[in-house]
Amino acid sequence: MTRVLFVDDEPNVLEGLRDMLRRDRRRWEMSFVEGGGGAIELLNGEPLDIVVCDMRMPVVDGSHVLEAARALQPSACRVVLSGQTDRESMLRSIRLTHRFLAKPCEPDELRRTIESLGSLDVLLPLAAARDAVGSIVALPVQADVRDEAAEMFASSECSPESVARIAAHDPALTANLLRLGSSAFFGTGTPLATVTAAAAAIGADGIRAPELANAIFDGETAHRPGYPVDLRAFAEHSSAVARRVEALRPGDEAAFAAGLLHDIGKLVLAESQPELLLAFEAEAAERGCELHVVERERRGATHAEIGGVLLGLWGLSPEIVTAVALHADPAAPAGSLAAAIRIAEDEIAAGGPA
Amino acid sequence: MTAQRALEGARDRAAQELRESEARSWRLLSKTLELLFVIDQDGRFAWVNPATEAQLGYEAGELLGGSRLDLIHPDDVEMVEEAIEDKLAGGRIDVQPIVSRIRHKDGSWRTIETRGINLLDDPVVHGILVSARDITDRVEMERERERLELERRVAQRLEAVGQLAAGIAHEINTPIQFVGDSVRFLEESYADLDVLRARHRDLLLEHGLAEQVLEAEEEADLAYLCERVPSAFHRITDGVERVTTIVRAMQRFAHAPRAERAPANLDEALGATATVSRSEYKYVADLELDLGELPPVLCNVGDLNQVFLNLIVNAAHAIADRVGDSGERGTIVVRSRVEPDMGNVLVEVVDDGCGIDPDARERIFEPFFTTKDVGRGTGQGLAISRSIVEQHGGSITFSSELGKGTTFSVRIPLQCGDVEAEAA
Repeated sequence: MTRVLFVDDEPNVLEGLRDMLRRDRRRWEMSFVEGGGGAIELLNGEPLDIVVCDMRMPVVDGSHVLEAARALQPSACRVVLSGQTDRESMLRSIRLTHRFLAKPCEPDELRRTIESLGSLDVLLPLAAARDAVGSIVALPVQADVRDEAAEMFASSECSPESVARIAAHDPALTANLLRLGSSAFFGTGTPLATVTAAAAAIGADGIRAPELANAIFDGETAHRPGYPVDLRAFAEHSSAVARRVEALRPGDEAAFAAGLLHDIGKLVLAESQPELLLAFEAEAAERGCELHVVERERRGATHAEIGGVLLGLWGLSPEIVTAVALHADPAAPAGSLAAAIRIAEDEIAAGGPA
Repeated sequence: MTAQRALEGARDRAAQELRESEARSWRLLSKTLELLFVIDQDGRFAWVNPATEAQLGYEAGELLGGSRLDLIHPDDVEMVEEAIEDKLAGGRIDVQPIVSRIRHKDGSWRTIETRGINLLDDPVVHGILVSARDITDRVEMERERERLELERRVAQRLEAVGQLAAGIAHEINTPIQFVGDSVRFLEESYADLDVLRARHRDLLLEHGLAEQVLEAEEEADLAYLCERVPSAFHRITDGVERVTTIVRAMQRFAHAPRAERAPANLDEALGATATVSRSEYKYVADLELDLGELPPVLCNVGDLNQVFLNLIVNAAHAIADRVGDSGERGTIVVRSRVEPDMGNVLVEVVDDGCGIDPDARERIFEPFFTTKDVGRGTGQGLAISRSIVEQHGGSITFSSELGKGTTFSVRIPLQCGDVEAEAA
């Protein structure tokens, strides 16, 4: 049973939600807490799967609650439900937030969000791996891409196409833009499969907002010596796979993004469990097998599943989430997007067309 | 002899001095940059100095042959006539300079500042001596400064309104959330209760209590409730949805960026503007959106929203003026099209209102010009609108028929060159 906590400073909102969601009581275990202080208290005790939190609250505001949720129960999905109307203040909380919902939120949309977050358990039931994903606040963008993108975002030449051209070289930037464009608050509220569509949905003013750049260009950790992933080589491999998958699946809108994001789980691990990632990679090299084989044995979950779950938390389209999560799985059905990623990787490893 | 010679010498000297003095006076009159001229009591030029000829572009002959005040701008004739009347009535001098427009030979209007001195009784002059200077450039600079100042003030006000709107939207969103949730709950609960009631009813009927049941149902007006309650829920849900739409439109409208240009969907902007301006037209007119699926246009969509808002509000006022209290309704059509040949998008706001008075047509884009009653128009809307459209390298034009209606046409280039950047 999915356990959901609702936090708001307005008792009427909580009462309204409680009544409206009454008929879901048999599938979700719901608590309703007034104010941030009480919410943090509850987070200290009971295990939760999803926290739905207002942003503007007196004394202990939404960002404090989300921060506490991340520290105390990183595996819990963090959802903002806010009547806030300016993007800037919402963007400031993006690091702590998996999903944004705007008040007033249609009951169906709220239900869909909780359902889709609850279903991530199926992809990755392992608590330790879920913690690794949930503690992520940002993924590293390559330094030169960050500079180029920041300049483009601010320029008058900026268009959805130009944003997409730059993002095509960077998995982390692509994931962030798809996430914002797919959210109801910044974009359309329906999962988008291409950066062009996402950038158009965010709109020029959103793209230009300095808060957006601050929120998604958090590459500091990646430039530390000893960072377990060589970002440039990682991005080049990802782009090569993306182009190949796109060629393998003509007409599939999600092909490029799924290819580009297929190994995003490695970035998640580089951020949250760098020692483990290095150890597993070393072992895989020693044994001459693939990383996911070692991961499956040692951790019970692969970087593919971990990456898929992060994208699921961020609200990317189910096609992309599934393809990324299953691309290392030999059981991925033939003809699926996941299988195409697998083929593309094999071709590239064999020195085939990049 | 000596005395006579002395007298002649004195006369020669006097004549010499007189000639020199005359030459000096003429030299000064012809070299001064001040426009000096004499007009007779009918307002015709009687004498002009070379500066007048040079600065207005005419030969002296052309000016002296002219008819009464024919070079003065029609709007200024009355003022100049008054000044002449004043002199004819014995006024000596214009204490305050008079500013009027006079036609240069090249057809342009020059603004001159004049002061007249009454020399009608002077036996030599018989006229009004006017000294004047051309202040056209100064006036234009002043006007430009005023325009910029006006724009700045309007921009500030709009920004304040935008912030206010965003704050109000936030305040409204929260109650809408719980009103919506609660209504949904009531609606579902009512349906469940109704099922329960029907089961109770069946049980009561089985126990032979039909008479009591029917009596109680009659008393509670059950048939009516069953019919009407569901539609009451729909009404509330519909109302809440409408409030949500309006608040979203207000947010979009208010939130549009002010400072910079970016690709924007003008059809969406027109839709949002039509929604936020509904209160202006809904009692007098219906608004039809006829949108042509415009491609993204590089523009400052917040500024263009203001233009569209102005045009819709003006259209509503024009219709209100025509229909009065008759109860009749007009139609506002907001149309968007691409003009591929011109590389433009065209936005038209068409009304079937009162039309624009021919006398006012020349002036409607002037700042502070208004035909509206106090409190209804500031006379800034169209001036600002034109300024915004021109900043986008576009144009705003209109056609109007008195009593029939007006169409305003805004054209914005698809490939919008950055006018300001080019100018800089």
